[in-house]
Amino acid sequence: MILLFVGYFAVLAYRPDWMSLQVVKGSVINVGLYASVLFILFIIGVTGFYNWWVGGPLEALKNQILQQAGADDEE
Amino acid sequence: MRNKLKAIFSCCALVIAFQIVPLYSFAGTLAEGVTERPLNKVAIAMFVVFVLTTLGITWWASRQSGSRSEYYAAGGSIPAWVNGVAICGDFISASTFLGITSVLYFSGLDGMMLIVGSLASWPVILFLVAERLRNLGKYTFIDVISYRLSGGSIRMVASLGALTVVIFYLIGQVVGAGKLIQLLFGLDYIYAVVSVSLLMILYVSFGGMVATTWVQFIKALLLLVGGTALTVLVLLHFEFDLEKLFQSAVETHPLELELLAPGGWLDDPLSVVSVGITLLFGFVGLPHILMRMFTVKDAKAASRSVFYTIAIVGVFNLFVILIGFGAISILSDLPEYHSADGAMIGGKNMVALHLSHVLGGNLLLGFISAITFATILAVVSGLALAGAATIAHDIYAKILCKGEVSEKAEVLISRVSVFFLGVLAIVLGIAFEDFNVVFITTMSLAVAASVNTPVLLMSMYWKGLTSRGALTGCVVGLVSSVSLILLGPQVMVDVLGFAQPVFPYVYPSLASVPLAFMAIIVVSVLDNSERGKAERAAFRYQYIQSQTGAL
Repeated sequence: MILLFVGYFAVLAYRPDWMSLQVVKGSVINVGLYASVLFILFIIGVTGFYNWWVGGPLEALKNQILQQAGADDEE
Repeated sequence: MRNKLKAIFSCCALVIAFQIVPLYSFAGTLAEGVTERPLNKVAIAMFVVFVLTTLGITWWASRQSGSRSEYYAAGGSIPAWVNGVAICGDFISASTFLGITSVLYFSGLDGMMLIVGSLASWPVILFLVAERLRNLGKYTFIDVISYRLSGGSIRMVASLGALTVVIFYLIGQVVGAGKLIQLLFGLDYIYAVVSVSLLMILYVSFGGMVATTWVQFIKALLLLVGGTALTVLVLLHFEFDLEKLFQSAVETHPLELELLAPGGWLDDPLSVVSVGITLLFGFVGLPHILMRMFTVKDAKAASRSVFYTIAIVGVFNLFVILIGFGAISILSDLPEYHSADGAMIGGKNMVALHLSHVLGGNLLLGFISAITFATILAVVSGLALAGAATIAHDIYAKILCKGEVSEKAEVLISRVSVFFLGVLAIVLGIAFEDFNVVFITTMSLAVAASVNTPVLLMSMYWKGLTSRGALTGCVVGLVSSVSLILLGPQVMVDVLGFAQPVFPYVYPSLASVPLAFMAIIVVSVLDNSERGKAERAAFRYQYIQSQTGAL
């Protein structure tokens, strides 16, 4: 995530011409527009996946560890 | 209780009288430097409905804000999705909606940099901050910094950093609100500033976090409805053909194809990098955003809230892109929205409002104007609550009374602090009337990025952090960010009239953020005191607590 962010800003700062490259011949919509919109969608997607992971597998693992720790304390 | 209700109703009557009467008497008059706007009855009607509804909510919320936990954090009872929408209400300020639309309209692709930069700070909040903050803290992010670091000095310096951010952000919002309301309703600047501040005092001092949350929630929903309506109308105008939308923007705009190339706003690489750092770290350190993590029941709910925020803000940003670029070909050729010299009537930030008038007439303009007003109120309320919590909880209760204070006294101090923050907002709002709002907001974001974020992240993730390191990092971040802003072009050239600034960049974060991190690391590593050793040893317990919330 951070790497993508750094990459996006590095290109904007040092190779802005890359952002102006056309993706489809004859269309004004360029790499910069696509990259920005895809970045926004990527952020939504990645955080959605993370949220599912935290609420599902990670939560189950955490509860298991806490139960185990409780059992160890009782012993 | 009866006295409390009487007080609320008296204040409500005062506020409504204070706002409605001048609205009618000043509507249509010409404030200095501001273009006259005709009386928009729809906007005024919607504004009155919003104010009455939110005051009703404040009255209801005042009955549920007696304890410390209820006042600061709504007792942790806010559902995750409501909190997520409310965070949007806190985050999307008028400058986000009107300002970014305007940057897209005038400078093109560089506006996308602001959108991506501000949105990218949210995964950082989600992945690194939200859950640990909820597990470690109670009411403010300074609780988390102070979890294992001893002494009142770190809490005091962190509080000063938080208050600096809150006050400057508040000034930016209040000045922006004054100008905007002046434009939208023809209301005198001072009346506008006083009205916003009075409503803020009412919402926060009586309703605490519960009222603030619902004000932000309603505002965010209204903004989404307004943004969606405007986007659909823009797409309808271009027959839902995105190629046609961007093609007409390029053909109409003086920049032509350069409109879709970077460099329209910032052409210096280091300035671009500095903006990136400011946006990425700045929003992570905003006290009013962080405080919202304590309003839900647990870390999982905090995490879910942030995801809802990201999804809503992300989609809203896509709308803003379409609104900004769509406005170019729709508005550019309409003389009634431009003065004789070609400048936009009412200033650059009026793009979204003029567009709403073109596409939806007075009805949509009135709706968007009322939403803009609601937006300002929601953001200043969140800021005031965060500032009051810092004064009452961190400074008064934890430092001055060393934790030995009754809940009633602390909440009372907090309510009084809101009043003083409101008065301060009025005084500074009037004093800063002619300052550049973007500069003031930038300053608060840069200070947040340089003071709050480094010490918050290091306190949660680095075992080696000690009080001395944290204290030094806060001071270095605060001094370097403020002094580099003062030595930069916005103050030295624009305000003081020097030919060249000492520091060439508007955004100081390029230097101040790394400096703060370095100071924290170097001083902590060199700290061999017994206190430092104890603080390092305490990290283990903090780590377990931050992961599980179980200790």
